[in-house]
Amino acid sequence: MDIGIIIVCVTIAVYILIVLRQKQNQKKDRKWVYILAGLAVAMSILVSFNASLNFIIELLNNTFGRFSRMVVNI
Amino acid sequence: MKRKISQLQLTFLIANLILSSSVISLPQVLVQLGEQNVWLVPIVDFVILLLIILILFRKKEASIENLFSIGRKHNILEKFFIGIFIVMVVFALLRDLRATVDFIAAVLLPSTPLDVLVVLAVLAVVYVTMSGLEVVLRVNNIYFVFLALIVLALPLLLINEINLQNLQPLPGLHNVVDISRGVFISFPWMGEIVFSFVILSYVNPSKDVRKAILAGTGLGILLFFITLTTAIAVVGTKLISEEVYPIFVLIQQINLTDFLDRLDLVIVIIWVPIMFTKFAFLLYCIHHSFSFLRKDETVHLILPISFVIGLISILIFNNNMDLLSFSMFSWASFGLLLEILLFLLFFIVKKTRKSQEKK
Repeated sequence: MDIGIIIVCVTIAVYILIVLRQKQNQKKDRKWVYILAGLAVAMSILVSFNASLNFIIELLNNTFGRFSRMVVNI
Repeated sequence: MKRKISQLQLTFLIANLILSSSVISLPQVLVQLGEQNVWLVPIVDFVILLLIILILFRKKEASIENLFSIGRKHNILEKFFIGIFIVMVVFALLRDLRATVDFIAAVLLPSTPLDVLVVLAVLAVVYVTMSGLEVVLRVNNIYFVFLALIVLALPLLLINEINLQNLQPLPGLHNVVDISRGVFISFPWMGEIVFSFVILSYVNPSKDVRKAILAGTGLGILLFFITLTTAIAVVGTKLISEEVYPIFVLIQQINLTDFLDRLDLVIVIIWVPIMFTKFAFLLYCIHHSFSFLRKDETVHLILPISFVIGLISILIFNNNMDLLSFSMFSWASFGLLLEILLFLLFFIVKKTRKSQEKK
């Protein structure tokens, strides 16, 4: 596992512990904390497996990018 | 908590939004399109932005009170504005974060893994953002003054290297098409002043917001104009259109004496915090918009949001070519579309608020 991913996971773990210990947080806030922390961990796993989300950029490059190239004639 | 920011802070923030990321690789594509005449592009951009600002803001602005503030009741148009705003800020943050990290990896830390650079950058940015908007803008004020002074002094520092023949032949009417193409590519970068619209209600006093926005836009575009023109005069169009980081090549040419020949590192050390301040502000914008939609504010969500965005910036761009293609071409039409929508929605939101206040 890459060092960057280890830093992400450790930071997220410490962050969740801190949020859990602060009892003044509302239930609604905690729900979002868990969702976003889970998303961050999922993203770090994707990075450690060298996965790619390049399809988003490819989609933009094939639509908006192609239109821009057509406008500037490159 | 009621935040208060001064007009000077807003001015420097807008100038930062215009200058900091556009100096990375925008000059390359502009010179490819318009060659030595491209120095006219920032001037045309300024005229267009001037018209937009004059239309959007009145001389004594009073209708921005509580605009996009958290916890109040808002109409569907404001929510729609914030929805589009989130999309634009997220893509701008992804683009700028990856561009800065790639630059650091290429120039300063070639053997450090990309994910480590991203994670460390994110942690630094989170620390600033969690301190609040005022802190972000104060940090921006400190560093932007230094950067502005350096950019203003660039022509003087490079006076030995300037070759005015690089700026010739001068533009004529037959160059209108080249300049228009440059404006099409560069306008979405200059139009990033729209990011400052969500914090306008915090400006104190609010009546002279228009003056601050105009000053910030003017300053940012002036500094970009100086950088671009000096780069063309010193480096030349051939080298700029080949280089990924042409402005870095420009500042490498500064050679004051025999022992002061690495001023490029000093300038990069000042530019990097400016970039980080921009990230902190964009992160604040995402958090603010998210809180606006949830009608509740908490600083707890900043850390996971920033990690998610940082990691997506690694996943979304396979390599530097992907990033350059997105920044140079996709952003031109994608960013322009979003900006036009945001300017229009902002205008309508202000008009509807004004008519509601009259009732």
